[in-house]
Amino acid sequence: MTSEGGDGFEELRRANPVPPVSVAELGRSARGEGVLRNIIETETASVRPSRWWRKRRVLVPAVLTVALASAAAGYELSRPVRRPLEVACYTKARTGALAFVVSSTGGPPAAACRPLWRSGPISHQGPPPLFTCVLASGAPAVIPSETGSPCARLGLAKPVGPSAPPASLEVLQRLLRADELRAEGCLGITTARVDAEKAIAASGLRHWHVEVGARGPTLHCAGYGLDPVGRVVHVIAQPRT
Amino acid sequence: MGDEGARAARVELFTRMFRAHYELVVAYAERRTGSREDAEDIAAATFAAAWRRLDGALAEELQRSWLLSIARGNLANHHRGRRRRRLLIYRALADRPPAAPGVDGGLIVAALDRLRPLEQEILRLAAWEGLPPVEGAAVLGLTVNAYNVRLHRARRSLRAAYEDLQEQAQGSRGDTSRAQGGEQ
Repeated sequence: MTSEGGDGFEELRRANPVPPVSVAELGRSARGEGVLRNIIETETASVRPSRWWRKRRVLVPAVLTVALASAAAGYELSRPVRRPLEVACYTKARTGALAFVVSSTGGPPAAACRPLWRSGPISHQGPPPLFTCVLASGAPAVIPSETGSPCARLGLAKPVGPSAPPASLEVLQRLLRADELRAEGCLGITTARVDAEKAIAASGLRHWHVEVGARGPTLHCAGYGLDPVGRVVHVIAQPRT
Repeated sequence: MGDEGARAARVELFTRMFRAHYELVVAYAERRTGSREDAEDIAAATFAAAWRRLDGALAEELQRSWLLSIARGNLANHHRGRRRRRLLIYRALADRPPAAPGVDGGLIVAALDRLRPLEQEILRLAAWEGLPPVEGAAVLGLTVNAYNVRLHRARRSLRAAYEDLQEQAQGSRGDTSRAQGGEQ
């Protein structure tokens, strides 16, 4: 039904309601320059709190935050890490702070975040003390804090039980990654399916299977996706990288 | 570096980032609102938030996904406000909701609308924004692996919804031609 045996993705690409922005359109636009000026000038004014009400505007949310945090501190939650393959590396001990989600290295969650503090993108100076909490999704969150564990302060649970993924899952992840690297740009889809089945057997995992996604006219190469909850290795058709 | 020097460096960094990405953020928002005016408001709010959060140099390859992740939050607020306003209008008019404005992609867009919100967003990021998995994953706060799995499933759901709609369309065309044949 779909064109050329694809999955509708090419049709969707063609149905883009706003054409992609060309390089020529980037840069200065009259409206954009106005917005830019407005942001920079407004912020310059607001960093000088010369009136008492400007201070109050900051104080009220601060008091609320402290009150909420104190209430949260009364409940010392702990929860197991259910999504050990994903680690959220937070840049600050604050709800809503920017976080980078990275793949687990197999060790403690903090080990996956330390490189981001050593060689960017978070900093180049090495990490401050890092603490592991558990997000509502079950993924570990690694949060910097100079004042002890921030979990209770932020209303997050402390981890209980092992935080690192089981060794067998790590083996499977490593085997598949190595397979992708060996292919140097294009891993054939049929080869990927066979390799994935071998990797499952070699890792010792049971009740896992392989699913191959829809191919398209430009999608001759394969990538792997791992779904530990559904116990599936997805072979995903993609263009040559 | 003194306060003035630090501020000048921050302004310069922000200005470069703004000029490189403003139109991209507007296009991202327009694809999801169907209105250039709303899209410009969302872009302005996005860059205002980016200015407040900008602490230091952010690698160029991370800027687009960082900005789009902020825009995504602003877009959710925009939709919530819009839904509230629309509900009031529907109650007043006792009418059916109109189709999404400014979007006319035929069956494939109708198929997209049938999917779950996260699946829709993953497909839009890949097909319309043209983001590679590493950036799409950053926008949604997922690992590249999790993003790839979800993209794979979303494409499968899109295909199923698209084929379903195509069959329905063919069925209704067949009914129409049979009805016309019967009248002759």
